[in-house]
Amino acid sequence: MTALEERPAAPARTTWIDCDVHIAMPSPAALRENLPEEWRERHDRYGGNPFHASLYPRMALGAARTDAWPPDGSAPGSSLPFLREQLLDRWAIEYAVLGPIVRPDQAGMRNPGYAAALARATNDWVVREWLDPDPRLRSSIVVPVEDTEYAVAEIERVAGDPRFVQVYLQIKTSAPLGNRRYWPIYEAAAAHDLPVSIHFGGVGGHPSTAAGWASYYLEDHAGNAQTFQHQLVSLVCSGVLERLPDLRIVLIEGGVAWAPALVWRLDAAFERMHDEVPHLTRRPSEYVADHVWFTTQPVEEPPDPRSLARVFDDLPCLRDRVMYSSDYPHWDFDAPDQVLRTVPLDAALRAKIMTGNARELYRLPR
Amino acid sequence: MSARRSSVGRARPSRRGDSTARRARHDSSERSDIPLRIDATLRNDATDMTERNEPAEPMDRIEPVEPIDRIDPLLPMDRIEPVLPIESSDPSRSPIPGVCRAAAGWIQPEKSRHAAYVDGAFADRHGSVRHGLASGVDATDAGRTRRGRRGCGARDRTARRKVTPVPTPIVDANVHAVVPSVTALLPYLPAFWREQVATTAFRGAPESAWPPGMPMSRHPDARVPASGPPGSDLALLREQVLDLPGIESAVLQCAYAIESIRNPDGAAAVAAAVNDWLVAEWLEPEPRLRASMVVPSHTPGAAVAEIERVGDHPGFVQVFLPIRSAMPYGRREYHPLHAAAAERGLVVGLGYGGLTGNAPTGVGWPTYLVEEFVGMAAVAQSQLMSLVVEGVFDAVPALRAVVVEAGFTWLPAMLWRLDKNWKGLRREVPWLRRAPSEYVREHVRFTTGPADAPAAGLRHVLDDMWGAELLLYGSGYPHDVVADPRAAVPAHFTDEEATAMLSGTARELYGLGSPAGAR
Repeated sequence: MTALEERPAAPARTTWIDCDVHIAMPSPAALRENLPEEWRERHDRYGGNPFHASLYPRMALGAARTDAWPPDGSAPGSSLPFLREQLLDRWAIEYAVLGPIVRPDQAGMRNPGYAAALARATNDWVVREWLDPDPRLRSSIVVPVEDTEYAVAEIERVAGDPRFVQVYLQIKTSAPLGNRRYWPIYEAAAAHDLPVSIHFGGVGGHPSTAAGWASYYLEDHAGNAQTFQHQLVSLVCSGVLERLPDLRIVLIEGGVAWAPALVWRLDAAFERMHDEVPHLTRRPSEYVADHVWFTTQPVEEPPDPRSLARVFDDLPCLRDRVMYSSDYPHWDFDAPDQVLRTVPLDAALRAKIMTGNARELYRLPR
Repeated sequence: MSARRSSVGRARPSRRGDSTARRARHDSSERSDIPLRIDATLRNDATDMTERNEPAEPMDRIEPVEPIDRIDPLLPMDRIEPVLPIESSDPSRSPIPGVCRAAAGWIQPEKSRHAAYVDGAFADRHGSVRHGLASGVDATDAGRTRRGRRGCGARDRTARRKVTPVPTPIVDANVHAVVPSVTALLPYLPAFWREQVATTAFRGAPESAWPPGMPMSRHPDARVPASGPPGSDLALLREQVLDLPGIESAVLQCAYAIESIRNPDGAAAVAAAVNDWLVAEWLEPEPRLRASMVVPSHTPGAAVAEIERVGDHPGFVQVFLPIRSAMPYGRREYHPLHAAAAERGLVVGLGYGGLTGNAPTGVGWPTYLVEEFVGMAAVAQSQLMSLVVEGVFDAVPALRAVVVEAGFTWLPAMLWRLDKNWKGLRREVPWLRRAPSEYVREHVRFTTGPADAPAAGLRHVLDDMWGAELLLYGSGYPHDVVADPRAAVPAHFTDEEATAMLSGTARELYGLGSPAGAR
């Protein structure tokens, strides 16, 4: 907090709630130490036998900004003091919602017991090293998504801690997220009044696109937005949003601006094919409006900033659904005082994006 | 076996300019030389199919072929009798031999590849087009109202257009030619594959990206021909599309799922048959038509060979690549395909569909067909990213691509993200000299249907994507039936922009309309 006081330039009343901040264990050794004893040897010898993912030469080490490495050389996002210095204090972040990255391919571990052990170890580490020491932090419950039973058990285990504000999935899964195999996860989340967040990345055992593997990181990174579109279509058409009226979905790091076009296309298709999905009692756009939140980073940057403002006219529910995120410490970090700066948003909308929508979704006290 | 080998030698016609080449290819009744292998990479200098089908391996490796009279009783003999293509009286316009003749100098290289079509037929049509438009259009037509409701803001615009009729000719850049069944292709398949059809379960493409029962596959107003599925009948196409006031030409898309045929030789043979069928049964009888050729897209070398075989035919203006593929079309494996297309002035058409066997999303198989329909727009985005990021438009600067029937309202958001990421990652792709969006603007166009945005949103999208430059009117018939294409023009377009969308852009892209515009 002293750092904040030393920055008189920062307007006293400007705060942000950052909905996508990544933390990581400082080293592979730390990961091993956090695993329960019975998994350490198997971890050494076999790992989790992951789905193999895209590896592109251009990917930054740890996907991080070069200035995000803590002075002691540990991994970006692994030092709370450095996080305070670089993000929380510097920009007067009121709350930061953490997305723990213990291993980027954690969700894709094929050994379900190992994936569950990793998830447990991660969540306990988050409480101990992050949530307890800093009251500004909230976090996401890491679950072994591809094994529903273990995933539900992990939600049940930690959901009593109110500092866990959502369940954490990755956008790349083994099946589309509307698939019924995942429904128990949504039921458990809804029962605990927790949103289900779906973050950029992950590995699900499929090529990065429906047309096979992209060749370059640029395609892979920008192309995550297409996977978000497929997943949202799946969630809407599956009927899980009909079945769980209180379920809230948060799409993190997938972009925002594609939402109107997708919803239009969904509604138009639904008009002609609704008899295929008779379990839907409302138009797709209504489910999206009631159930789906978006975070900004990496927010689309049209050549004319007014184009982005019009996205909120094209899909008015977005006014209550878009939340600021920085993606610290990753290379494509969106600084809170820079992002959307040139976009002509009315003051009320800007306040909703920067704090209001997240405060309401996560029920964060003032 | 030796007898068979010698019969191959007998049946093979002389090399060049032999007008009996195609006849010989189809005349299997006394031939047992079954095409064994279409070795495109080795023999792409061949000038006709017969020669390309020459066995590349010793005959005794080949399974004995059933005598032609022992075919499956499911297929009556008369169905597999060779049907010879209609011989045109104009030697420059004969069906597939025209291609051979082009290669052999029948079509003068300095003359427009479209000249044979354009000179006569089009000039006449233009006159009637203008006449028809001047008489006005029924503003109460149901089809137009439907389009208007779909969000193009058509009704106001239509009213205004009615009082100031602009004699804009119309190119419908997206109508479908549906292969009714493998029977239609038999006359164009080589003996070996006819025999496969007759004696095995093979019936060509097993499924369709447009399942016949799916509502999108047939608009309620699309009439069903007596002889086959909607979109398979030229007479109905004339009635429901070509003879509408103002239509000067239409570009056929054939979404026959070549890519679902795993056997690469089978895919190549069926692709060739579809193209020959398109020429003989659509392009030849109807000069207002152009077509997208199909290729075995999963086997790029064979696809190039097919482009070389028929790509010079003046009726083909585009290569149809299904949006779903086993690997993205920007990859280097496909660069020769793009180059072969561009070299001939052929546009690459990324069309809705693709039955690759791979999941239609990056996260596995969705549950419902409606998900696939909606998701096709996202796959189109992946393909456009691939074409741009892999540098296809730098490697083949003359290449043009059209996204067919997969929407366009998604384009601005995709480009905003891609451009932003490119700023951070451009050192990974140093061959890109400009922002990705600029490549799209220069090289890629989109057919209009199906429109899905409300009027205000559509206007935002069009403003953000240089819509007046990038759109080609395309009805999607028989997936949609548009009684008045002018009603598809967004309300805020100027007359100039409307003209570009209805015909100008397509004419330029496909070399249609006038000798001056032809390439």
